Amino acid sequence: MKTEDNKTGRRNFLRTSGAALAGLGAVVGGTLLGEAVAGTDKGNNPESSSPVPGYDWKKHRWAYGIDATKCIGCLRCVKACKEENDVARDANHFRTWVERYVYLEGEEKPLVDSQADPQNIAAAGTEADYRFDNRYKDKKVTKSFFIPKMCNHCEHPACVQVCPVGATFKSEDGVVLIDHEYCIGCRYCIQACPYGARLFIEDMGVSDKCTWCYHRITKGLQPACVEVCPTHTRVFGDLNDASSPVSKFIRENRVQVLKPESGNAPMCFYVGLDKDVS
Amino acid sequence: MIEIAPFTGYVYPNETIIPWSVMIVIYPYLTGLVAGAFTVSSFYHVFGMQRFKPVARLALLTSLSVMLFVPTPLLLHLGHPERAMNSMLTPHLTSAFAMFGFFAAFYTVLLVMEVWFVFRADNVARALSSTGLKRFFYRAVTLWSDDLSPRARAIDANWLLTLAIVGIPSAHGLHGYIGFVYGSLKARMWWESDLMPVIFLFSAIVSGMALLMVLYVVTCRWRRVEIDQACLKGMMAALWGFLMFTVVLEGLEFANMVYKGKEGIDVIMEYVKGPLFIRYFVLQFGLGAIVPILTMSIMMARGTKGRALVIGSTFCALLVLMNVLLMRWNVVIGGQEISKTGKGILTYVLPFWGRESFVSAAALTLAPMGLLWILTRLFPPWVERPLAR
Amino acid sequence: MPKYIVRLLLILIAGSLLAYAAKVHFTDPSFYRFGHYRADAVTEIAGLKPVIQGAGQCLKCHEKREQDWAAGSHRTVQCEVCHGMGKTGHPDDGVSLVPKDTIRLCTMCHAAMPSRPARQPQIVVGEHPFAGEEKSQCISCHDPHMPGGGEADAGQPPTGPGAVPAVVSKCAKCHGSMGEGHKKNPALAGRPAGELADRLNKYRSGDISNKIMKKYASALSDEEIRQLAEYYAALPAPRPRIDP
Repeated sequence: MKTEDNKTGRRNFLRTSGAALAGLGAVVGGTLLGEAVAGTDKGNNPESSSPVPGYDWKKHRWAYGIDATKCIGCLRCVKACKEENDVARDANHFRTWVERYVYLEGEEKPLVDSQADPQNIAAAGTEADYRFDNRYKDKKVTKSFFIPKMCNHCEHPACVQVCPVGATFKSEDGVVLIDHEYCIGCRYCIQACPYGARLFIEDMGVSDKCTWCYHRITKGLQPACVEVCPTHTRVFGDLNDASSPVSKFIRENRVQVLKPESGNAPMCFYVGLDKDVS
Repeated sequence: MIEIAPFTGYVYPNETIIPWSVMIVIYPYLTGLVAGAFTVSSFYHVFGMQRFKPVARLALLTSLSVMLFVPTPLLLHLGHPERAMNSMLTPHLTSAFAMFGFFAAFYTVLLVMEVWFVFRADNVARALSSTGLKRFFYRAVTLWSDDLSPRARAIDANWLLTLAIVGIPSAHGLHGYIGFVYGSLKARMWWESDLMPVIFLFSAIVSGMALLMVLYVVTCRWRRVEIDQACLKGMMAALWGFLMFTVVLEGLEFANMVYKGKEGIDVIMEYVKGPLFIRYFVLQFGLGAIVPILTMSIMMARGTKGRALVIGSTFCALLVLMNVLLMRWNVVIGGQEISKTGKGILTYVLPFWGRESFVSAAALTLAPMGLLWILTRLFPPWVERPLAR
Repeated sequence: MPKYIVRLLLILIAGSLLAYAAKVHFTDPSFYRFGHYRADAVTEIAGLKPVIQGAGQCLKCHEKREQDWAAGSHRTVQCEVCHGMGKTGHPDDGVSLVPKDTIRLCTMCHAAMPSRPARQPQIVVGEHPFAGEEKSQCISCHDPHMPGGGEADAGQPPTGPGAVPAVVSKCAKCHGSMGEGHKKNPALAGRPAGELADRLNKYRSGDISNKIMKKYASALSDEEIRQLAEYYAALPAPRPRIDP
């Protein structure tokens, strides 16, 4: 009967094509599984114990010092960082910044601003170079100072903990880095940082932050901000070397960190913090 | 078009671009509806409460329709959506976000399987009584089996019960981990609370119940079928109870924060009394919680029934849906409007068009209802006209 | 087991295997080598090229700066701070890096602000000598590569009477930390003490008319004039000045 033949025909067709698909699936799956069983290639330089040629990251433990009593708020560090790391030349993306605290006569709470403040940007005349305006020059100021800020490259970074994919991590030499090729742009790390050190690069769709100029320090150079600071406010070096500037800085001063209650154990050590610095 | 948030006081320079947008408000709203709808369906499928039978299958389909849209707000938000699978390739197990892929995949598979088992008998009957493409579709869906023997049905019932039971922690985990993400974030005082996962979960259940109430009333009206008063009353009572508990939890969380008065409380109080006042106290708490609780209390005390019950409970359910959406907004956006400096307040600007905008948020909230309509055509969940014998 | 259960389970198993195989295939090979991240990322980041060159690079061509800039109080100010930070095209692109608006540039660090530490030399531009006058830039009086001035540069002379007069910093501001002179301001070092003292007296009395010097000399006592004259006389006469 026609219907019977149709049914059988269709059944045969379905059977054959189903078997073919299953076979194809088996081949693909088998290949992939075979890969899994054989073990994976370990990428570049599988035998080397240091990912940077000519630099042994196990020998160093980097740290940073900031003597805020010396900061003159010239903001050359901010500009140098932007040039060095090609950070967006606008008022909303900073790997490092400087805060100004001003106590006016009779007031207990300070007025705080940074170079990103719209009034300061207006005084600078551009979002690509930075300066503090002089709005307090005719006011009675009882106390005032600058505090440079940046990523603290914590020992227990909350940002690293919350990254769902492993795009941010702490290197063996103590620098918290971001893998821009792997980051999915969820911005959980930006939320987790208590210091506001992380930013999002909309054009690249990834998170970003200060890297202590890893590409410079692995070549024996200073981070760009340390290089250009004219007053020795910023200090960098290797904690494994007792004669390095940062080791001496920590030894010879009473140093503090920002928000110690966070539990993140920052590695940027400050001299000259004050009660209202947050 | 990058939205720069205006601010008062002092905020960190990088805070002027608010990282988590309206998409991250919609996402927990959707997973909350998923978990809540599933909970309603489990009243019947796990706990055997017969009065919820009219909505049980509809609730499953609702959960599924919304679940299929759940990844969308995330994909619209990610800087690199094409790399989203990285979180399943190399999940960083210290991160709560890494759990999303696994919870979502597991729950989706579970839910599809549960829907499959629930509708299997009906689908077999459909397959046998249709021709052509429709027959092929239902044959495929039933995996080319027409076994409706008592043994098969018993097996189906076992699978269904197991899936429904496992589905409860699964659905709640899918939504609860989000509450954990906020509650465990020490960098923001507005979020950091042990109660956060529980608050999210209970408000999720409440939103699912409210949605089912509205859907039940609407679909009964469309199909010109009489509304089962016992079912509606049951849902209203459940909504009433869970809503009160949710309000208690949220109140406790806020009270704790104020009572402890830790560093940063000044700017929080300034924010709550200022920009947040109407959104939080008037709309979320007042209109969205107190009004429905009082209305439902009155209806239950007076034994309201019939048309008045339908109108009253639908009205309350809609207010509750608004409440839960506002709660997500006030937590997610509110938290980011309070600066980490403890010295400033920002204002989130919601764009009208764009990837993460009012339009995309509205679309994502309404689209699952479109999918639900399609699913109810393919797999009618209504109990009034049973197909399988 | 009913056929549909078997088929269902087969689908689940096949799906799981496919998922696992996909995971193995798509995971980056260098991941997990050192930790939960791509080891290649470290290599890539470390491989970026530095942009800020530092003074060492500039001094390779501008050797003479070694003698003024590198010895003065601006030695902590890197070349690129004033001369085109990040302008990596230099010198091939032929663009001049000499800053034009030095008032804007110098006040970046030297504008008086309440927040700046007191030891930082600061001026209120409106009150500074010659500020606002036509064509007056900071470099009209100050040599940016060897600004002198400030306690830091009231340096110890290699030979001399030993005691450095307290007021010498006021002179050093314009006449250089070693009295070597700057641009229009004449050198003082190595000139006979009698001549120097005589001139200071004449400035003070107005016999020689000079607005600036009258202001400074009027503030000096006889004893201070004597000390200054002896101090500068004992300093080594300056070498011929260096032009960029």
